[in-house]
Amino acid sequence: MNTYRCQSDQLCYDAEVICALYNQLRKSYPVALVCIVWYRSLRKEIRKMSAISLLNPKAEFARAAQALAINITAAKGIQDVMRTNLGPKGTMKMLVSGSGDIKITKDGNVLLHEMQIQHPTASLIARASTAQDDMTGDGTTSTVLVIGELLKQADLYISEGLHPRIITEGFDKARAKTLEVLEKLKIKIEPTRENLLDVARTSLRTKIHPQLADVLTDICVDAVLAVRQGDKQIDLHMVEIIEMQHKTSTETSLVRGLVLDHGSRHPDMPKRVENAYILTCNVSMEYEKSEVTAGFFYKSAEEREKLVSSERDFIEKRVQKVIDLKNKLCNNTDKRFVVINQKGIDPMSLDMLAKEGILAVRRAKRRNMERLALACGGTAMNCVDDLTEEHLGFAGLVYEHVLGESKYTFVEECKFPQSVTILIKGPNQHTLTQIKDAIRDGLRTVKNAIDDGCLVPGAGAFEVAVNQELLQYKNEVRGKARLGIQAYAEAFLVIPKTLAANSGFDAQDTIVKLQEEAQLLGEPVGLDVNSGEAIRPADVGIYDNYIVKKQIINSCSVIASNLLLVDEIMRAGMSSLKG
Amino acid sequence: MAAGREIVTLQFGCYSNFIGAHWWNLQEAGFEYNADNPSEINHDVLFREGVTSKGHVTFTPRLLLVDLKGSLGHLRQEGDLYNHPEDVNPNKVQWPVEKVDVLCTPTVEKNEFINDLESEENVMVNTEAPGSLPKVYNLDSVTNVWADYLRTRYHPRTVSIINEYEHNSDTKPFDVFNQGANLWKTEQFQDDFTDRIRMYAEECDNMQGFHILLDGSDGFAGLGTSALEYLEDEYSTKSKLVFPTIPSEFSNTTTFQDSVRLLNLALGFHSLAEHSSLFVPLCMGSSGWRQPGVPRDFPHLRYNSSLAYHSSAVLAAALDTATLRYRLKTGMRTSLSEMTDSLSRLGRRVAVASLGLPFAMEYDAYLLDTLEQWEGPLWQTLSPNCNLENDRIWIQSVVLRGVPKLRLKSVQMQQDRNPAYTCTSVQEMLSLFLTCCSYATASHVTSADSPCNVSSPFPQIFSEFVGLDGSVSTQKRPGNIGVYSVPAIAGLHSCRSVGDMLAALNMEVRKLQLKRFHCFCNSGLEEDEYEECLNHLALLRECYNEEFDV
Repeated sequence: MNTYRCQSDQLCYDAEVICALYNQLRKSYPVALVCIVWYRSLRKEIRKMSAISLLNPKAEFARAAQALAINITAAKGIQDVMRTNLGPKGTMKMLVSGSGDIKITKDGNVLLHEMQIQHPTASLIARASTAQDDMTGDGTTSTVLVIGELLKQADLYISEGLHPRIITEGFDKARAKTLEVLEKLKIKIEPTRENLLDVARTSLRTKIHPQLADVLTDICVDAVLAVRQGDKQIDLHMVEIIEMQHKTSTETSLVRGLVLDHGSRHPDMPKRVENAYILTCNVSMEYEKSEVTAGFFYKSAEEREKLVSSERDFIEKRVQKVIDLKNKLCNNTDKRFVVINQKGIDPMSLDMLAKEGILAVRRAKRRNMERLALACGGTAMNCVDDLTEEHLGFAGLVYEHVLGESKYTFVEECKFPQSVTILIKGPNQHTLTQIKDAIRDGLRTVKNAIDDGCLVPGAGAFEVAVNQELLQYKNEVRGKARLGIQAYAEAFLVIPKTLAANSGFDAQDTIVKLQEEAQLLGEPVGLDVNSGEAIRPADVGIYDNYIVKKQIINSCSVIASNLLLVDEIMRAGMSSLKG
Repeated sequence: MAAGREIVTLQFGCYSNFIGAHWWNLQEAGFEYNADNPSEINHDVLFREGVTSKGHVTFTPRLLLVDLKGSLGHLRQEGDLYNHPEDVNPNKVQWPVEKVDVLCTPTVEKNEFINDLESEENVMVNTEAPGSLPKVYNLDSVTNVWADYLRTRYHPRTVSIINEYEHNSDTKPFDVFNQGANLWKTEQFQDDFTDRIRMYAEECDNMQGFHILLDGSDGFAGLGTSALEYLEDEYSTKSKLVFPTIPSEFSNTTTFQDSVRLLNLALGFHSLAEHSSLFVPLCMGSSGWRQPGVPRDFPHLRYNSSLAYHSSAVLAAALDTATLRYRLKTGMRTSLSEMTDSLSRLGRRVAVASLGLPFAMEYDAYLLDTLEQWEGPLWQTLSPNCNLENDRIWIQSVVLRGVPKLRLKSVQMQQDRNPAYTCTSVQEMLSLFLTCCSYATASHVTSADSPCNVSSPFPQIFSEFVGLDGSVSTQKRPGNIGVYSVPAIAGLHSCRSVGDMLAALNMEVRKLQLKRFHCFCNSGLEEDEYEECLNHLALLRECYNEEFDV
């Protein structure tokens, strides 16, 4: 239970008690009586209070110190939930729903999505944090921790009478300085495989088992490097992710080509094709109703039959065009032919194609049209007139894999695949989901590193350096704003502190050790989570994304400042504020 | 075409899932396991056959449904057909055991019906002694979610849960059209959901189209219509029959919330008129827009309109019966598109549903006599703000089920007394009757022998004068026995009063000022977009004016 000092008349109140008392009274007595209670304690508030109460007797208020207390409690609450997840030694959370659905995660973003956050302040923080994930794909847990810590540190000063406005001024100055520090500390890199492996490994090891993380690290880096085209913006959609509930998670692999989650629908079609031309098209090969089907428009049944059969002919001609092309290109060679269609192919058309030994799959993903063109060349066709060889792609091997009722078609041995597939394997659904989440973040990390062209030392080194720089900078600032800078500097230490605590070391010991070491060496020093000793992140290859840090600095400062400046929380006609 | 004729069903929202659960139960109750006597209903239209990884054959609905977090009760999201529930064992997690937090939500209690269902499956013996009647359950008080009475098992692909919003939440309700539309725009949801549709479509040899049930009065209207827009784009040649539903009672009834629902309906109807092949609003209340209003009265039903479990059962019976037209193996094969095209002629995209449950015949009566002595309407309207009685119906599609040919007419009767005596089939006789009843109505009549199987978990909503086989008599049915099958009649009608329905909706919405509803503006509804929607509704209403009739 905390004691808070109320600014307006310098009296001490226990906010929790006031809240409880207020709620209780409000329930059992008319509004007027509750106002008397407030009158005794907060003389100044009473007039405004009763005025709003008159307008909406159901409205609930929390003002000044009480409002702040509510915000800080919420921030601490959500911080406590997320705290244990941080770093490679954090706890894994196993969420079991009422019906027995299992979800295993330690990813802050996934957790925030799973939790139903009722408290308005907490959900504001959670939203800032998921926005962080949308932007950068990492750093959600850190965001929550830093916002919570900023509020906590600010609270120390506010309870001694400092106005929140002054603290936020300090925060603002500190933020600008921190960004400078970030610029200073960033390490320029070339997007080589080795450099990218480090940053991907750092990110992935905080999410999954190290052994699996190492497998995924290679996969993610290779995938991004494969889809990267010169200096063009990397499109991560060109990395297809396919789940296969089968075998173990370490058998997750990168396929340099494309895996489709469906197969041929005709028993006579080949299951395995080598040296294949690939036709990607978006052309309907099924007989469908014509626009005016209703019997109304036909004079007689014969006429209707005629229309139906001419429709059928029309589709058959389309299919025949594809077959003609195949005959032209493949006859008397060892080449084969594969059709991948975004639209449907009906049994009759399948039959025609199967007789010619063509492998045809229907209803491909819209996005796979683009991916196929990049993976094996050629272009996606919207009509089958005037088809020529250059419209076709080529793959060395196309084969089908059946697993229960699911079929998979592998398009492999492409010449220069610029679209690849990550094939996730795992014994059960929750493992697959966990790996999928990790891979998404891993890919983002690699992409960020390439886009930024630089990295930031990890393992808490950046935060320790920020702390030091800010404490120096504080002396250059005049006035009470320096207290805000002090609070900001302290707040950033929450990251190395939590890392230490999660790894089973004493937080204070570690911080002192790191600070001393950093002073001595004059360069960033981070925490070795295995030994508890100080290390140079560069030596062991622990790096974070530049953009992630930048985003954390910006969003945390803004959210924390906003929450500090709130001096009235109102809620009309709904349940209690505390939830 | 011989194979296929598949239909993919999509259900958006809680009430739609209530109806859906009843509908699948009704269908499963109609399965015929005896190979010598195959069912006349082609269950392959709505169901699909699959294989689990262990090689067991499954038969599950070709269905995708969306609901909010916390609305599944005891049901697991991926079901237990393909994957057995895993033990909660922290040791199995690939992570140091001391660093694994297990967070369990309390297990949801299962009711008697679900427990019996599960034990029946485990033992795999037929516990029913031959000749004994199926057990009757009273689930009225224990049904909180649709999963509580669901007999059919779903494919793991079927259930999608929206994690952003919680079921029955006060603080963050999912009650604004644009919330749903925005949710569709999120890449994660759209990619996942469209992929699931595609997986079903890929399996189909000759898909007819889609059935879509959506909650019309909350955020699901936005989600469902966005999905429909996608279907229109990707599967443009397939028919889309949409049933926007309105629950029979709302728990929150402030004027503001009523208005929000009204706006959702208006926005939804506008979009449906544009993208669906045909849509049929369904509501057990008679007025529907702001409040569902007085519940529709069925002469032989005693249902509690405040229970979604009851009202959704009636609607499900209507759906199951009315869609029989294109789900039969025998008789005149028609397709979904034929029905939607003929009913939506002249831009009249809205149709009205009706149901007679049970189709009241006495135990030993013949159809001919029953129809001759019939008083009042054959059916009760199930669409809000409409009344089919004394209405000008242009086109209708009517299905009568559960009346076998044997009960068509008495042999002893005088042949010359009645022109209807010359009829040789149920279909023919009903057509004749309908022609006599209403002037210049084009009716399409379908008849099926199999009745509606309404044994538990279908609620016991029949009055005590309805017999076990659904016949009406003056004697009371023994108290502890439930009705297990009933004949039913259901129809879809294109009629003039749809115009009144749309006019009423338009008038109510015109009374509201969009600016006052921040939740809509905040979630991205533009003023002119809204204005356009209202104008379109007015135009749609014009289609129902008589002058344009052919």
